[in-house]
Amino acid sequence: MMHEHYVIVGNGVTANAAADVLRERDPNARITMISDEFHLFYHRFRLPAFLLGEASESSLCVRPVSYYRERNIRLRLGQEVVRVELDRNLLYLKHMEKVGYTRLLLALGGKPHIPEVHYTYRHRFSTFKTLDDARLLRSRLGSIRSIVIAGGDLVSMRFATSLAKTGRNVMMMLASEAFWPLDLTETIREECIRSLTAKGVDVIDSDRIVGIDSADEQNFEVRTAAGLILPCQYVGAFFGWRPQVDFLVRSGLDIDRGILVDEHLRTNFDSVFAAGDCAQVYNPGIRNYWVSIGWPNAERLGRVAGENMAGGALEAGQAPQSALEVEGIQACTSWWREHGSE
Amino acid sequence: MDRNERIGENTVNREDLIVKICGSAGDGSISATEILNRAVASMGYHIMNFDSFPAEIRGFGKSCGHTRISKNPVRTPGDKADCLVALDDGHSISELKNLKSNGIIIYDSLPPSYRDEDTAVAGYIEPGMIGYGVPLRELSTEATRSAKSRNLVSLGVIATLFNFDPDAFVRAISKRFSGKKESVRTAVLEAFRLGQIFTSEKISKRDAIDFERKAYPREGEYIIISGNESAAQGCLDAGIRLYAGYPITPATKIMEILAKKLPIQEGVVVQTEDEISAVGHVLGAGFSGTRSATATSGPGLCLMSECINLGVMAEIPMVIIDCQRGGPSTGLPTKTEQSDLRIALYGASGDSPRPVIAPTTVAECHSLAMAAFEISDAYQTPVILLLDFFLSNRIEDIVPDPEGSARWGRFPDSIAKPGESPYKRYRITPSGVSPRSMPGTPELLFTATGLEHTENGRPNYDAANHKTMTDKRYAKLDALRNAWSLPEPIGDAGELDVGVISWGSSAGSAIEAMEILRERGFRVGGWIPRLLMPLHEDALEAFAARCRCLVVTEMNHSGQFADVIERVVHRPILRIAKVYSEPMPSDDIVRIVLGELS
Amino acid sequence: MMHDIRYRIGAPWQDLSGESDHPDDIEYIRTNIPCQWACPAQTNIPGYIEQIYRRNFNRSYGINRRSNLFPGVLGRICSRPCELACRHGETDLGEPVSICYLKRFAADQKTPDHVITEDMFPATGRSIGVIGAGPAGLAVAHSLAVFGHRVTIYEQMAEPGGMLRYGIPSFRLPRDVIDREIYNIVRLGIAIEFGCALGKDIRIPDLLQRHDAVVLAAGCFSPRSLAIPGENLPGVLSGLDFMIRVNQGETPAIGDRVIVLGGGFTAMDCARTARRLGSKDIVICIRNVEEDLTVTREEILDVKREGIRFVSLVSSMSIQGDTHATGVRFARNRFGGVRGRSGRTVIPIEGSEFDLAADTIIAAIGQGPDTRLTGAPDSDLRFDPLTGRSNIEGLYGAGDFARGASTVIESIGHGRQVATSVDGDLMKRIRRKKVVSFQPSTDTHRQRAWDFIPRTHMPSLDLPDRFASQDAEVELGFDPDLGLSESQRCYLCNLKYEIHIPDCIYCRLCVEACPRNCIELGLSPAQPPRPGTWTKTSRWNEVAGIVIDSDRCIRCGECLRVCPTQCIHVTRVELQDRLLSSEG
Repeated sequence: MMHEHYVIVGNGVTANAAADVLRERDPNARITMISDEFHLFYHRFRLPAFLLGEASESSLCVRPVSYYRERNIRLRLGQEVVRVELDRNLLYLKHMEKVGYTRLLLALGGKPHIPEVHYTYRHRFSTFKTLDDARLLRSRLGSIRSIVIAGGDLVSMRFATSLAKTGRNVMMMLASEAFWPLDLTETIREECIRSLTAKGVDVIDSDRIVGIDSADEQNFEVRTAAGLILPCQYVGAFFGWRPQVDFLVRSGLDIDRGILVDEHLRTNFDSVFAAGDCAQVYNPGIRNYWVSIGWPNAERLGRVAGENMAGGALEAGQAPQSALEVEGIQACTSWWREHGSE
Repeated sequence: MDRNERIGENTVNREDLIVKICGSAGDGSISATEILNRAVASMGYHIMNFDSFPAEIRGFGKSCGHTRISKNPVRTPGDKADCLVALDDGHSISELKNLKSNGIIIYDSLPPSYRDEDTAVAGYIEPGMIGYGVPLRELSTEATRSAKSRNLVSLGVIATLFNFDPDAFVRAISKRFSGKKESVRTAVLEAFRLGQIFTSEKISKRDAIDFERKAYPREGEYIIISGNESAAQGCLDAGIRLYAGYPITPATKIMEILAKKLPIQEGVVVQTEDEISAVGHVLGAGFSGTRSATATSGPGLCLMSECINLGVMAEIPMVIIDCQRGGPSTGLPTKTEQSDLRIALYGASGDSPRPVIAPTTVAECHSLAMAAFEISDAYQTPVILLLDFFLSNRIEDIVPDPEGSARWGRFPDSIAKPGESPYKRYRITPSGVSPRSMPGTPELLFTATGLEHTENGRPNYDAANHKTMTDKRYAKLDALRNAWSLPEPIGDAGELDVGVISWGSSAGSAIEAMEILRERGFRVGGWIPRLLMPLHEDALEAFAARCRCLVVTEMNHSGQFADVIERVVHRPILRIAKVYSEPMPSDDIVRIVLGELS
Repeated sequence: MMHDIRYRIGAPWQDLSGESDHPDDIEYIRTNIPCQWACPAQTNIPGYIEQIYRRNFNRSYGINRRSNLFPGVLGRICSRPCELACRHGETDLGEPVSICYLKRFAADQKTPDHVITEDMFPATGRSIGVIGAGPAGLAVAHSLAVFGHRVTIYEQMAEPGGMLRYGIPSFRLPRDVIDREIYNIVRLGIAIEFGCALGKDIRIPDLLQRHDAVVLAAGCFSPRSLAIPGENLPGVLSGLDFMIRVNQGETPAIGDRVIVLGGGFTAMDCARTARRLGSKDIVICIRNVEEDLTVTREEILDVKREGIRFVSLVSSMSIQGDTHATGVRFARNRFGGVRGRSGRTVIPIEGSEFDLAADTIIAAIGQGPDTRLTGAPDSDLRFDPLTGRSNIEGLYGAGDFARGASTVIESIGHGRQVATSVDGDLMKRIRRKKVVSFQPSTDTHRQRAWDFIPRTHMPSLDLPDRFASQDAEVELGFDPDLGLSESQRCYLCNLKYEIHIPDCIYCRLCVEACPRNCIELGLSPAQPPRPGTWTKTSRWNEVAGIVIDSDRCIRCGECLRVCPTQCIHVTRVELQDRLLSSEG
């Protein structure tokens, strides 16, 4: 008998939750997880603590290799999917290997987004999403005195206040588009500013970056529309994440900003599912498409995707209240903290 | 960073690196390994190269070069590799089990088409391993218009990645291709250079191995040779005139070398119809006073035992090199094992004393081969030299020792002088060594026979005579034991937590294990005799008396040497006797000893 | 000398130059030079790109102009069907060559003393009227003038160019480029009468009387209607009208907030023009998703760089406002239809309505031909889509008017086709046809390393400079280094690599060197004739010949360089227009 081969692209919370469920439901199936990061599944919300030396690298790791070995889950780390042929159930990896599947879960997560208006100087922005980003910044931290944070997405709040605590000069330029899929309402904006200022962050409101100059790629000068020139050693792009769906373009998969899925997290291909930060689902409550964010959500959706891949028919349901409570600043600034204190 | 913190198989000392270059036959993995050896040896590093062969004949299927590079003298090829260069994905996948769990894989990132699932070596990179993709084939084609120089591209990658001095590689490559056209030399150097450039520009290094372009001065000349080459050179330096042999893995290489070189010394190589004939040739040459040798492996040694016995009885000098392999019977021709000890020591009808010598390094293959001839002549006896697959085929950098035989002078009473009357070919002497004459010498005629005989060589079945003559033959062993310098114990002096006894090719693993145990805080010593028959029993007893735990390590199932030791020391021994088929992993010794000590 | 290249494998090499119009040879072009086949004007793309990297910019421009008349214009605004077909853009081979920008590069780099030559036929004395001085009309007129006919163009606007001039903003297409290339057409003796609106100033029956033939190339100037409530409110503009007004020098007051409905080039142009008129908050609302848009990805990036946002998966339901439009009510869309690849239809989701406020709403959802202009009822006038012949003798239709809204390059291609059929009908014989030419080529001068050069991005004006004036051209063109390195990326698919089997020693060096596994062991190399369908084998004792699969071949030349017996031959295979000036 042919066993199922479940392939999960991604190694974050959604991917791991789905793998757990699939192993419970189908002890004989092959399960493969593919991720372009080299690191084992780690706690992203601890990266700011790691950055400041408050957490060790090993404490970031959620699961050891043995966890996967015991469950006979094959981990392909540092391996990148560059192309898919969904009507032939094939993935193409960067190192020139084809991998087949019977059911596929795309749990890709997102990559930091830099708005196109900053295209000309986009390479001068640094991003802070992965362990590698954190390692790099940690190694440079000693020589950084001033930091400009552009955007102001959910991740940046903790990042900014953490760095401000260390006595560094942290300047934050709020940009409304950074908050997608949330809307930056006046209430949130004011609450953000109040809260950040209280924690020592210098918030620059109602201005925008029009250029970043650098003589040596170590020291930067950020130019703003209002004519400010902000010298700094680090310009962080915190405009939110966008799903990493480049390799899916022209695959036939329905993609808008994220991968379009139905209430069962199934894409327009029967054997392909998507969940987590990369999946976009219509939410009647807000009359809009929604990408679910936050660790608890992602974990729940991973389990739903796993159940449905194994033949279930669970509904993803609406995003839970905590993530939808966008009017309360709490939800917006506490996403990481919320889980970290669990 | 992390690497040095780990223990066990993942321990990486600085300036100690194990590289495997794996491909199909024709991919040049062996020649790349040879160039690597020469290049790093010229920087003053020590190497041990032990290629693995397919179970079948060399030249088909997988071919994998394995070399260990270290600042310190290398005692073992190491268990698992730090770095695997995959010139062929399929064969390299089967080699992954010999890669450390934090090992490095260098693979071709741009093959001409996608590979099917699980046929790309890069797909097997486990968490913790590091993969570096290099377009080996593309760069090779760019440099030499052929895919065959991927091995040289990969050397460029290795040199840059691990920060070796590239000039040493350039010299080694130039030397290797010195017989070729200028355009070929330029092209292969370009292949190396493209590997370098790609690595420095496109690869972000994620491993911690860095040789920092260091170089160490070496004392004197060194050469890079295998155990078989070393033993063959020993035969040549000992001045043999005849080599007779029947090909058998892993001994064949000795014949191949001698077939080329012996005629230059006006010697003769005879490929006989079988091993019985081969040893018969050697026996005849020895009888007539010409130095000669044969080399074989276990199955051949079985066939030769009859003639060896005749050599013992008729006191004829002869040297038999036994390159052991997995047995019994045809066994495992391409796997290493130390299981011929018992047949070498005792494999004969009757009481049949014969010296047995076991070199432990490639250098000793040379010096002890020469010694074997001297002993054979001096004591008028067959001598067995025990190599094995691992020792025969491993390549080391050694300092040649042309003086290897100087200390073995002939006994003054061993050559008969005309006028001695009546001439007694088998005269009883204190050393057991009788005056010898060349057959046909006037006034010194004698009978040589396999029957028990009297002092003048005539057959005699008298009980008293048999006892006397048996004692005489055994007396030669005592004389040899006294003449051979005492095997000095190594390691710590005084009381020891652990005493390790080993022999032959696996001695290196034992010494390496001792070093690891010492680092762990134990008092450790070792006793590694090269002369296994006769054994220096007093020295052994003295060593054993200092040890709380006595360990004997060897690569056979039944503990053949441990049996010998036990008979002398009369105490419990921790036997580490295993058929690994591969060189003995020192980690395994450490693990077992630690288990015993705790 | 006509050859069929299919059956020439194994033939003595010196026989290989010549021409052919055999259908199999045409078929070879279709599968092997995909860019040229995709081009509606069948521009010899590898030919002109090769001239660029050989630095013959004038010749490169000339090869271009022979097929498409407007290299400078098309090098900026072409819809680039060729790039979608480019072999370099095939899976795993990277991105297509910037064919379009290279066209402009050749136009930018050609020397001022470059002289355009035309292969003119002697005057025939025939007279032809062309209605519309847009791309199709100009293409028809040019070809007919070359054939020796006397051509008069009737144009309703004050200047020639049609959509080029009135539909496309000047920041994308500078007016002097249009002027220069139109001059080069008109100088063949073509007369243009401006201010002649069809149906008002001129009528088709009169023109048919006046000329031996009349070609209708009046374009598509009739905007498609939104068909939703409120679409006639003030503040709702059609994209085309908006562009024409701006291009005529007006600066319409559109306010700060603009919603553009539609996702084609016109929608992008409207949004970017609005940005230059000073609007702050501009949103392009599309029914599907960005991936589905016909505009290039570079265009989407440029639109976003200018701060314009996209809202995807929405359908406009109604325009809001009482006396002036104040916004649009949208519904969210979902994809419907069949699961899997072919299911891209959008369906509004019930209960998903939401409103977006705006001062101006620009509907850029396409346009059609105004067939009322002909004076005939809609159903009466029909055009053959290939030849342009109508059901009225002597009356032809070309370009968008005949075939519906399309692209500039399609209009030019169609215009040339129609001109050939007009000429054929008048002269009673074919005087221009497509042939496949082939000539031996000694060296390709390509290097394998060139295959790895990444696609060059068009340098563009900094954001503040873009908005300094309406006319500042955004795309700056390649500088010589960029252009030359981009030209090296072209595989030169017009070269055919063949192994001459009698000389082959089966050494396999080419097979090993080939980076794409396109050299195969064939059971019978010459049959069946279609490339790629020969029977492959892996057993050496069965091999009848080693063959190169031209479909997979990327013309890297590695095989040629490693071959020890020089048995690999290269033929330049090109689709060309052959002018037949005399009988025979």
